[in-house]
Amino acid sequence: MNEEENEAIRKASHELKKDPAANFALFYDLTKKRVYFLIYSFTHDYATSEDLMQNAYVSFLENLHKISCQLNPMSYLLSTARNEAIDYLRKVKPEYELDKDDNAELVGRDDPSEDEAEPLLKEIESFLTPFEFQVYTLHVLSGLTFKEISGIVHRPVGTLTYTYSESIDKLQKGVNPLWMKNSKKS
Amino acid sequence: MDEKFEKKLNDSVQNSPMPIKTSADQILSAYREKEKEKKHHSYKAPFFGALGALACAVVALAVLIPSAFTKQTPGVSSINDDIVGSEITISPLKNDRDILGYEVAALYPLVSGKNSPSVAGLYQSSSSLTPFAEAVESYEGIEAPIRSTFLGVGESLTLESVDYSGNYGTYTNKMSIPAVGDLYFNATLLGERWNVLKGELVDGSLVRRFEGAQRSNDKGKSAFGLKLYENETGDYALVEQNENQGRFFFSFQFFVSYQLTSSLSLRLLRADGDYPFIIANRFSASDYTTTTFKVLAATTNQYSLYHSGISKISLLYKNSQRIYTNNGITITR
Repeated sequence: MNEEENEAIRKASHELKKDPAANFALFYDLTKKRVYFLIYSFTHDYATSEDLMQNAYVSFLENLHKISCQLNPMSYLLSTARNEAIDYLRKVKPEYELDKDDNAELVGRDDPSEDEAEPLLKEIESFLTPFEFQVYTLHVLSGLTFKEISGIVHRPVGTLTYTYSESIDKLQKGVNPLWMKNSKKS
Repeated sequence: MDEKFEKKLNDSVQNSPMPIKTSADQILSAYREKEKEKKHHSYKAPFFGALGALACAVVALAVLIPSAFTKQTPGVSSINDDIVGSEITISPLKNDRDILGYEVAALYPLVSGKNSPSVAGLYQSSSSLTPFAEAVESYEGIEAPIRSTFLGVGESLTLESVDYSGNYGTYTNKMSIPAVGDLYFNATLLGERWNVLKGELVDGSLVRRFEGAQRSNDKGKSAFGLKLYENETGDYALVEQNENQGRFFFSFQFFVSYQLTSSLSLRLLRADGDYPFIIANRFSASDYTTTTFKVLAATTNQYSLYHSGISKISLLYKNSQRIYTNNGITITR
């Protein structure tokens, strides 16, 4: 996340605290992508990620009065999202352990239905291990630094940068360039 | 790593159509709905839900993660140090039998097998310990009744009719409390409630006498007190319910030679998110100090401890061990 974006989110948080109903839309617009993909990096499921994202925002709104905008409301929101995702995984996969070395292999690969899948992301997912995909998603789509990701997945920064670099190499060999050319601009 | 490829790929991914369909309005509606529900929510459902989860504890024991909770993160652990509990609306203790079962189950670990002068075996602080270690040691002294409270130990037990001749009399009622022993007693009734109890607690070869009495004149409130004798020379423990101080409030007092040595009170509340939450106050008569712990149960085996002078401590019950974590440091008991 760059400083400009952080500042925009901080301002939106201030406004949100003043009047949640009137100002939530802007805050949501600024933050939803990061929150969504953080959850998706754990669940690998679009519909579930939507549900959990909603839970995370509702929890955030419930605790808004406790959150200092001088600190980092985004951190709080992302932590909430992470906990929602982990709680979900524990429910559906009781063997799931966050810090277990083979944790990544326990995370599901429930493919989304074709009509919901974003083609390029699906293509990327198919070439990476669940852990590599998680690091890639958190870094590229949630916009987190490796240090921030380290706090989420409990792995050293060095491991994450190496994993990311390896992932890019794998993708360069595997991803069909057509996917990239065909990706639409939003 | 080819940086040109990386940039091209990442730009493409970032500019791909967003799969997110949920709107801000939908989230706001869900939030309003939840706020509305909260106003009409009773304590009973989540608390018993948590107790129901105990049935899955064997699975849970294997999967809970201590280090996932080492930070003060929101969500599951969305409670700050300034946590404030609200009064429960329905007590998990449904009748006199539940109250008796709970009182004995919570009290007994504090007095059993500990021949220390303080009877309760409550911890006396040591200045040589770190604040974290000291907090853990202090908490260890009161951990058992708090754990019993969260797990609902002593509740919903079966009462049997017996004809049992014990050390102190003959009794007609028997109630077995897991991990404690068998209670044999006689009860006199006042209306439909137990008024006076006299009996014995049998734990293997150890037998302790006890007396219980209903101390409330208010028909709407219960204040059942129980005295458990260590011997007949003035060493005993007293547990008293007091609904005037809270829907679920119990105090434990420990006497040696008829002198109060220490006491403990436990009040069960409901925190944000309907997590069961206990405020525990321990008083030491030797130095007139009071120690407070606030304990929140995120799951049946995962607790957060709040204690003055130290940041949040996570407590995990796993494989018969208690794993305390604070700022990345772990103490296992």
